[in-house]
Amino acid sequence: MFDDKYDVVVIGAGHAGIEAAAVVKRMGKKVCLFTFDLDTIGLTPCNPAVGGPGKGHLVFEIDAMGGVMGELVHRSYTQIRVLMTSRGNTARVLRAQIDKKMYQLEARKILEEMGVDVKQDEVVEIVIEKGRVKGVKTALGKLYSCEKVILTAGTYLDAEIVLGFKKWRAGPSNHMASYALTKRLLKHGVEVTRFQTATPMRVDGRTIDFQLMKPLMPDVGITSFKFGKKVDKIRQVPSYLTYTTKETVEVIKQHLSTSPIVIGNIAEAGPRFCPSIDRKVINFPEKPDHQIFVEPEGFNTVEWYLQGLTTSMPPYVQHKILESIPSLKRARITRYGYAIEYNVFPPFKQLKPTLEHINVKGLYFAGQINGTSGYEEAAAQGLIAGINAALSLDGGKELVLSRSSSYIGVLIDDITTKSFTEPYRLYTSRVEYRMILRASTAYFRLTPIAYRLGVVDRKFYEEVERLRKEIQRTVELLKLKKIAPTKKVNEKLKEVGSTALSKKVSLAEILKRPEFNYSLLKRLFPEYVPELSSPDAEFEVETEIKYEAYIKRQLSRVWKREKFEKFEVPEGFDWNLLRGKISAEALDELIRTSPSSGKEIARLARVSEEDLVFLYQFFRDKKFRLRILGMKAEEL
Amino acid sequence: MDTIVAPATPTGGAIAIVRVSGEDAFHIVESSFKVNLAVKDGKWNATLKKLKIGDEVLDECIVLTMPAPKSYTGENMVEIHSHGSSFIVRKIVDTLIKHGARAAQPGEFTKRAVLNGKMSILQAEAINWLIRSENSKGWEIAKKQLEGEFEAVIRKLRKGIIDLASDMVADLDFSDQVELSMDYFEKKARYVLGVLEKIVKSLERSVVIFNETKVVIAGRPNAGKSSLMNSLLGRDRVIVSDIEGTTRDFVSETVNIGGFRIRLVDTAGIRLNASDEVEREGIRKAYREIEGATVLLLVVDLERGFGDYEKNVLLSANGEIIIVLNKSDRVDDSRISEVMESVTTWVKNEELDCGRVNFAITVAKDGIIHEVVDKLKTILKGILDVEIPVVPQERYLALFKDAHKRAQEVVDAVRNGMLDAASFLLEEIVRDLEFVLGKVDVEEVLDEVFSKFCIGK
Ligand SMILES: Nc1nc2c(ncn2[C@@H]2O[C@H](COP(=O)(O)OP(=O)(O)OP(=O)(O)O)[C@@H](O)[C@H]2O)c(=O)[nH]1
Ligand SMILES: [Mg+2]
Repeated sequence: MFDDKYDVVVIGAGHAGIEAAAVVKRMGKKVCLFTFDLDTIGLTPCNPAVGGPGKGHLVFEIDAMGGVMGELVHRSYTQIRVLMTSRGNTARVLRAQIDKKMYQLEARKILEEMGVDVKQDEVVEIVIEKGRVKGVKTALGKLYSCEKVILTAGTYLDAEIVLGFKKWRAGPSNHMASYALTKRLLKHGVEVTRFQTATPMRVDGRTIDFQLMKPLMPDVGITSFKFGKKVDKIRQVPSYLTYTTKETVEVIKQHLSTSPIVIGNIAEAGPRFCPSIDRKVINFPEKPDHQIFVEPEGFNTVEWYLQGLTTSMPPYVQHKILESIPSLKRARITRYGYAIEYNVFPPFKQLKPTLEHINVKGLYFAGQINGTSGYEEAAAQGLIAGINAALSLDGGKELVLSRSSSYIGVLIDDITTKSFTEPYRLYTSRVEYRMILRASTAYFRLTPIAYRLGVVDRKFYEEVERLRKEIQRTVELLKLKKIAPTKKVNEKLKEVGSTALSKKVSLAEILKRPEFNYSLLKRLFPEYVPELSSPDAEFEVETEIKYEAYIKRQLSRVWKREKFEKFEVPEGFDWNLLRGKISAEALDELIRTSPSSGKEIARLARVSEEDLVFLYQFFRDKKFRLRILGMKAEEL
Repeated sequence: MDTIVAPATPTGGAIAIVRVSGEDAFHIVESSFKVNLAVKDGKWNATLKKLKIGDEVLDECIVLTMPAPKSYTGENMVEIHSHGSSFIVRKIVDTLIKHGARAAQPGEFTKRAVLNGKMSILQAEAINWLIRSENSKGWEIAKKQLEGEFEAVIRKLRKGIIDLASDMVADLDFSDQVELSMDYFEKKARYVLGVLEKIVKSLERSVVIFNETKVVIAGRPNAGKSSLMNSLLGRDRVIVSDIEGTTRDFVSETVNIGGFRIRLVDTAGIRLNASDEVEREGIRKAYREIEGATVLLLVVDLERGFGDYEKNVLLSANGEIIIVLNKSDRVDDSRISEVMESVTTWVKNEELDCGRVNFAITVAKDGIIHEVVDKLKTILKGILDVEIPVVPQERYLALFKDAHKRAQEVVDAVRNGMLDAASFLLEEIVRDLEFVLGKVDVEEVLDEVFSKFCIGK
């Protein structure tokens, strides 16, 4: 009856699908990746950029766990820059511009090299029997058997493009989309809602006046998103910064009546962090100078991306907007900006932290269909869904990364324990343990886990371990080695504008001084401070020493917090029993949201840490519970 | 919620009040004493009732019924006003307990009021201290906190923190679009620091106000401590002699100075080489008093100068200090400035807070002590001048002191260009002060970011 048999089928070859398929294959399972179009694997239909605060952390973590995104970026970048160089060591992160076409070619190549079966066909139905995945049916009438399906359909489900007054059925960039799959899925207890997102116009670079813009130059010699690889300089291209003008704002104000947000032919739930230019003018009518980052779409194309000018206003208004900006006055639009509406399956109360659906065994969801935004967020989920699908094939313990382990852990924890009304983006501010979850520690935190799961090979793991030990050794050395306040030492210190020593102090203490960094310490005390294997290693030593106090404090928070989140709420628990025992405010929220675990409770906005500790005791300790409820054991 | 009962008045008055609160309060009172309360929905009602136990009338009482939610606890409440016999009160309480009420734990009525949203924790604690206040200043502070003045400060603090946090988020998460200067962050961080500083200072003073203001006289043997004590009291309370170690134990008296009621303590002179056990015990006690002093009067014998004895005492002091330069009749002016100079130099070297150290020149034996009195009055006025009305709840002091320390670290981190650490520290402050600030959710901060900054790709 089945045409072919796979362990795992992945639907959709975007950033989530690529990671899912790749990791399942790495873990030795038979996998097939379905896509509408083999030539658009790894499409980046929005900006040609990967990384930045939060997102950059994700890319390193994906790389640390054997994902492919770091490698793909490394193979296709047009430039890489270090951001946040003056905000403290832990804030520093990378951002890359990529050649979109090259990224797609490399994505396909990597999958083919790995031996992933890639197929061009549309999955129109996931076959589910008795709450369990059996296989998939395609538009060409083929039937494939599989135990696991990972749905990574991005913004392609029941997708509709909105542009001015027009609205039509199509996927991103007018690609084919899927209008059959969702309907059939809903029969199996799956919940759906709708989100929207939008993208700006692209223009012909030969018609841009770059002289009037500020170039943003790439960095060279730094480590890339791929472990151990350096950014080489020959291939890099700058991007540019320009601004809207008073006239732009005037034009938009005049034509606001044509904006889909005003017309109302678009879903409300768009991302606040990515507002259209019309939205910006509505919200901040006084501000004339909105930033526009002008980024190349690739090496072999004349198209440039105008980050900051997202809009789905009609084409003639889009022309007028460009005409109001001196540097883009003559710019010829190659593709118009548009908005897209698509199906989202909110993970809260629907997905387990493994990303498997609670009602359908073997069905995993990852990426933008989970209501997240961003290539990086999608890739991270694809990786975890893939790992868990493969692990559960063998009946093994599945992988749930905690909030204190990684940005990935925070991302998945957030979306599965809280509901969101707009596309979710992972800000660093959502990551409470960011002092320990530094981009620079991604490999030390996650590669050992990935190695145990068999996702990364021994050589990679050993390299990571070697680096970790080198750093650890050096930190210890700097803490132990004491410097005496001799005349010579104090003269050296004075030369670099640092205060003299009055007693013996360790090299670590000296490095903690704000004016010091590792290379200065090395220059002043070359006889004690070693040259390390890479500038990254030296940077990490410096960070561990300078941030020691904060790191320690954060670690002690971690164990406390994680401890008090460990309890379950019995199904159907009557929260009213606790009236008068915890604050009325917290109680209201508990009744309203009826959480099922300590983890969910900890995310509630009105439940304080004190309440959490109380509830932990209440649900864990029977004696305590009986006392609180004023009952005797036999009454319960 | 079960129904609780407790006497609300101390024994010994003409009238006693028993309070009952809980869902079944009316029912329990009715069945306990065979009365019909005729409770009117939503209305308070006071009636005169003969309370019976069995067939016997126990007492004729005023029974006040207050249906939920319009009562102190927000639950059904009854107050029984009986005659003030401890026997009657005990009978009433026992009977109610027999019929299903439970003896209330200390503070349980107020706790229920808080949990039912009738008042905030801060208000409940204010009530607690209002009951304990013994002077007009304490009463004023507790009353203002009850009325919400401290909460207003907390709201301001919360707003300042969210403002700063959202700026940090904007800068750290949207670095390409928002770039704020470190000076700007420092200014905002200093604002938060300033509010916390005021709260801590007010709390410290509040502690003094609610406790006794203690002024302790210390100094080496024979410096003239007892003479000073007598002069301040205006009578010969303590024995004065030129034998070292005359005062063996400490002597304490209450005295009114410039309208402030203070406890004045004369201690045994501190001798480093005290030989007998009685004197050594006296010295140990003296140190304990010195540590707990709101104001320390350190008597220095000008003839002998400022030495190790005096230094030891100063290092133990926690409060304000007046250095009393005594026996000024026996020395000339140059000696006085010489001693003052040596004190000042030492204080600076030890990095003690110079603002805490004052000087007064006296002839204690002849009652020439006006400089001490004037300085004392100024200091007391300063201490009692509390900017933010906040009661000295124990946990406040520890938590706010901690938060203040963190806020200083935030400022330092910003100055050192570590905005990442500053934002982490700010979150720590928020978490530690959660009990007063309420939870600050990351979404709330993000909302603020999006309303303040035009952010977007
Ligand atoms: N000339 C002069 N003598 C003083 C002055 N004050 C106190 N004396 C004398 O110094 C001697 C000691 O005074 P006390 O007041 O008993 O001293 P004390 O510090 O209490 O001494 P102990 O209790 O022994 O520690 C007495 O003879 C006082 O009369 C002063 O200002 N000038
Ligand atoms: Mg004496």
